[in-house]
Amino acid sequence: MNLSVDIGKLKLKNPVTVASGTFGYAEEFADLLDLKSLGAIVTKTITLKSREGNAMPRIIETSAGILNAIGLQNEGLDNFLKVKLPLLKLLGTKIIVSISAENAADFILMAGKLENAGVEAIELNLSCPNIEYSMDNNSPQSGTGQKIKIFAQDCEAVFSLIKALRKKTNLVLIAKLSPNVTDISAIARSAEDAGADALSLVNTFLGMAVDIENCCPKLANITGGLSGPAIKPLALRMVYETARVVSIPVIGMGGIINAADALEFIIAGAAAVGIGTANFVNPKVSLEIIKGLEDYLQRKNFADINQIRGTLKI
Amino acid sequence: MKNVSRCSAGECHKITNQLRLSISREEIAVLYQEDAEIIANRQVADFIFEIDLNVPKIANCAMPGQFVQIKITQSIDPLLRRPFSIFAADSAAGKISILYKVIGKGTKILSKKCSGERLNLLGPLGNGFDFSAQKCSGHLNILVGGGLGIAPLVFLAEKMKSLNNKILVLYGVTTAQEIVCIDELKKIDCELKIATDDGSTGFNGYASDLLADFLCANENNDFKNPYIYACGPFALLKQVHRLSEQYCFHGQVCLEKMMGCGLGVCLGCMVKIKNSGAQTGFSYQRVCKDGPVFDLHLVDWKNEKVS
Ligand SMILES: Cc1cc2nc3c(=O)[nH]c(=O)nc-3n(C[C@H](O)[C@H](O)[C@H](O)COP(=O)(O)OP(=O)(O)OC[C@H]3O[C@@H](n4cnc5c(N)ncnc54)[C@H](O)[C@@H]3O)c2cc1C
Ligand SMILES: Cc1cc2nc3c(=O)[nH]c(=O)nc-3n(C[C@H](O)[C@H](O)[C@H](O)COP(=O)(O)O)c2cc1C
Ligand code: FES
Repeated sequence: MNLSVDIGKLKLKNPVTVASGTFGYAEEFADLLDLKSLGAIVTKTITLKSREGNAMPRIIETSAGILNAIGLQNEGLDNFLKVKLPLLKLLGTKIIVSISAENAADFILMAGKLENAGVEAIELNLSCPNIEYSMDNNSPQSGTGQKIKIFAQDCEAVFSLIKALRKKTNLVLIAKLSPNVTDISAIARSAEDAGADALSLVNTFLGMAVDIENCCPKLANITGGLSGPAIKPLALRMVYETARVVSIPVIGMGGIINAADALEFIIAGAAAVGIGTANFVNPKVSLEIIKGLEDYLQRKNFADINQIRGTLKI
Repeated sequence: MKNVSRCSAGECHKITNQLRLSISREEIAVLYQEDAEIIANRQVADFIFEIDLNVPKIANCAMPGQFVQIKITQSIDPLLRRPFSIFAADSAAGKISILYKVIGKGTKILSKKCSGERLNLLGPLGNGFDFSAQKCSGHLNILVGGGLGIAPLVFLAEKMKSLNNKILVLYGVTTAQEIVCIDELKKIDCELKIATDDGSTGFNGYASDLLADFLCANENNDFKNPYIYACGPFALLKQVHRLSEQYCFHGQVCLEKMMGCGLGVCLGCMVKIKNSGAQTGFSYQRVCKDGPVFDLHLVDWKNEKVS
């Protein structure tokens, strides 16, 4: 039985990846599951310089989901290269490094350093809703008030960024898209046209929660990104609409907590899936999903996971 | 606070991580996911329950101040695990105990569970109290607990007793009906003072008032240099810190924050901690992984809000 899938040049032993920001740098899970069994590990998003992230509270549980406004807290690229990457390289599975930056020049600089350090693939987090770009100087600032503008909300911005990166790097480029747009398939096509090797969707949906006793937002950042089972039908719709119109592979995610959820995404067109919030609930969930995919293939008499991708009958 | 049985230097931590990733998981694991059978789940005070769980691997290495993350239902409501301090661990019997208060959806469901049912646990999580000799011998050790903050302190007192340390427990609750652990504390042979907010038993006031009175009364004798371990509501911990500045004592506090993962990856449980070395200022650390026990003097009390 074949579970392996290709994400551009990157060959995954199975289609189950763990989503950025929900699996740290993997070492945190080392005691709990056999990391090398995972299809790929996507790291927490790193930025060129370290970031402190947003004020607390940053996480709120909602009905069947969580709202987060972490604000890309991370130690920065140099620390990642020195401290985290050497450990990740020992794991025996594919590593996809998630990166984010304020502008194309920084994305290119980061991609170059990662390529030199032996990384094979990067995921471009174009969609973190928690960094705010003020209109005048395009510099991100955590906090509130300013108009939110993220790369992934603008076809031209996505196109020119990925085009510029494509010229400079041989890394597998995966564009991670935001669901907070009117037509995600248009953004997806821009990324494909510019030379992205794959797409990853969705990131979290902007949302909020109110503390009725104190009449204040529950998150210090006011708004945050919703993830978990609550978003699954929304995410699935977007993966479906995207996979239909692009020919590059789509890594589908949003609310997956079991093999049946993962299969819904694959049947709707995803080449691979990302497991996010579910890692908090059950750290072994990805391995259980891999097992569930095998069982399904066997039961349905398929020899290869790729045979069921996009087989949705309309 | 790293507990005594573990490496504390950063370098050492890196090496164990490397080993853990490359060699064998099982042999050097310090964290487990275990299906626990409920041995007993009984009410011990108003809204407060004690649950005993059969989790041999966790019981074998649990230290005071560490906690477990419990998945209370199989369903997605509530979705996330709930964190609880370990109140007792018996490695011979393979069992741990937790004291919990029913305050919301998850704890309400938990209180209805019967012996024989199963729960999934992650643990032991976080770094427990440091009660190595260099911290606590030669001092009077004062354990200040508010509400269920007493739970990890009872576990600590039990461990410290075997080291022959002098212990005073200052325990505050809202009202007499909420008092728990009296039998355990009596067995430990430590001095115990109780405060209730409503004066229904013991001293009428807060545990921090008991501490202030003690410090004031002993300003000029052998006990003037106590070492404090505190756990409880934020207001209590803040008060303990204020007293530490006035009376110049050291100690450790066990903090609580809302948790997404408990594993150190979501970065949702942060607290500002004073930078070490040459760096000034404070930076975020994870309560679940870098804590929940922190040095009393390193927490950014001024900017920390009640959560
Ligand atoms: C490290 C740690 C150790 C803990 N140890 C214990 C313990 O030994 N015994 C015990 O009874 N409780 C303990 N708690 C608190 C316990 O986790 C919460 O009471 C529990 O998660 C509430 O779940 P619920 O579903 O019943 O409440 P919910 O319905 O989720 O919430 C009810 C209310 O409580 C608030 N709340 C929920 N979780 C927390 C939290 N973690 N911190 C502060 N406020 C919260 C919510 O904002 C809400 O207002 C600990 C928490 C932490 C972080
Ligand atoms: C706490 C938290 C932190 C996250 N951090 C990142 C991040 O740093 N970069 C990123 O691209 N996505 C991040 N995400 C989004 C997830 O990778 C994923 O796209 C999203 O949560 C939807 O999947 P899920 O419903 O399975 O969680 C984060 C999600 C959560 C819950
Ligand atoms: S609860 Fe997720 S990092 Fe602490």
